[in-house]
Amino acid sequence: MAVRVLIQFVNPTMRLASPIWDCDGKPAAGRGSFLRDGMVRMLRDMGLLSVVVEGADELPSWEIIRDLRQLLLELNERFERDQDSEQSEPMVQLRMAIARHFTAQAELLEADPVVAAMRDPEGGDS
Amino acid sequence: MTASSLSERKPFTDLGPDELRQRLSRLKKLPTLPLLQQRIVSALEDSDIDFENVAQLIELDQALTSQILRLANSAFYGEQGSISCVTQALVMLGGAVARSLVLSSTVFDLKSAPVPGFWEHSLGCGVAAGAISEVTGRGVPEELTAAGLMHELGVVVLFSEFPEALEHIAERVRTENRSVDEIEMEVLGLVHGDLGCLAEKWRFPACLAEPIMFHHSPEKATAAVDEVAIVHVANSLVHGLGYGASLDSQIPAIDTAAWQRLELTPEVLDRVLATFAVDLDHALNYAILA
Repeated sequence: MAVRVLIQFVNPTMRLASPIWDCDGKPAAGRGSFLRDGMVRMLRDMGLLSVVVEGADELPSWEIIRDLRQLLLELNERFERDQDSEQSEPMVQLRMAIARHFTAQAELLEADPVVAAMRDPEGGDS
Repeated sequence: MTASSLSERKPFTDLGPDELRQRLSRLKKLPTLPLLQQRIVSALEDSDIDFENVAQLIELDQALTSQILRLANSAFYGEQGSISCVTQALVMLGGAVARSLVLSSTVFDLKSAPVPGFWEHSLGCGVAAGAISEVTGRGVPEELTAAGLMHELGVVVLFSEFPEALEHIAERVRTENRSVDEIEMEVLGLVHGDLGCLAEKWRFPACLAEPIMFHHSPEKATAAVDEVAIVHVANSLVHGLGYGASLDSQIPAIDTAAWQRLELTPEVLDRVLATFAVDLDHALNYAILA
């Protein structure tokens, strides 16, 4: 299964699920490339925040990029596990701050060049 | 502790309350911080640090030398590849960071995690505590990072001394949806924060020892009230973010007095979370290298 992960969570056992193209439309990394240190450095230098990888079936939930709706649902579930603490003002404030943070992060990731970098300039399927 | 001594033990469920208490009291006899590390930490506590002397001590420990040089040369400090000697590294990192590094790298190995995600939770709490300190201007961010990183010392001690008890507690927390403190009191007659008294035995300064002992009960802090409040809030923040996992299945409730003390307005919280995201990226880069 291919999943999108933040670049700081990749490790050398993971492989790119799709090729990556640079801003001039030249191939920068092929599908199946292992994400070794040099490769990760290059992708970071390209300004990528995330990559889509395969071979990451066992990844814990916090390393996988999920859509904002899912993140907010999980946030509510976590805060609703304990009804007592949900009532207090600090917990309400914390929950709202984390929701704002997730929203801001999602907007940032929406503009992540990974989306463009994975798009085949010829229009073909990767 | 050896594997054989572990296997010779009776399961904790076969122990009577007296025997269990006796075992817990013996925890105070856990090995002390190695002598070399004690000497390094105490040299770094000196108000007029002799960096050359400290460097000579650090160079006696190959692993510590390599960690200090790696940190000084990491992207986090922007000196990639230019720091080659320990004295230079110490001058650049400063006493507080070096002391935190010595303590956190020698006290316990967080990567031998008792719970999946435990290392991430500890790292996240350290980064969050550092971010709160930085944004609110309270405490020393590097010390708060170390305090957050080590706040679950009591769980690590439980894991090393009573692995079956810890498993039993973790299972009950999962299935009964109650706080870890409640279940620990029922099973052990104490909470994992109580085992943080070892931090005092190891002569950790109050700014590290009290957050370890009181991160679930900040009202008990006496000498490091700000630091305890910060680690207390950082712990809930990391739980709230869903980063990593600890024994708690619930987000620990935040003490209102601790929250108010830190004056965490929505604007401050937004800055804390933004700093957290950047610093976690840096910390993960360093942690992977280290």
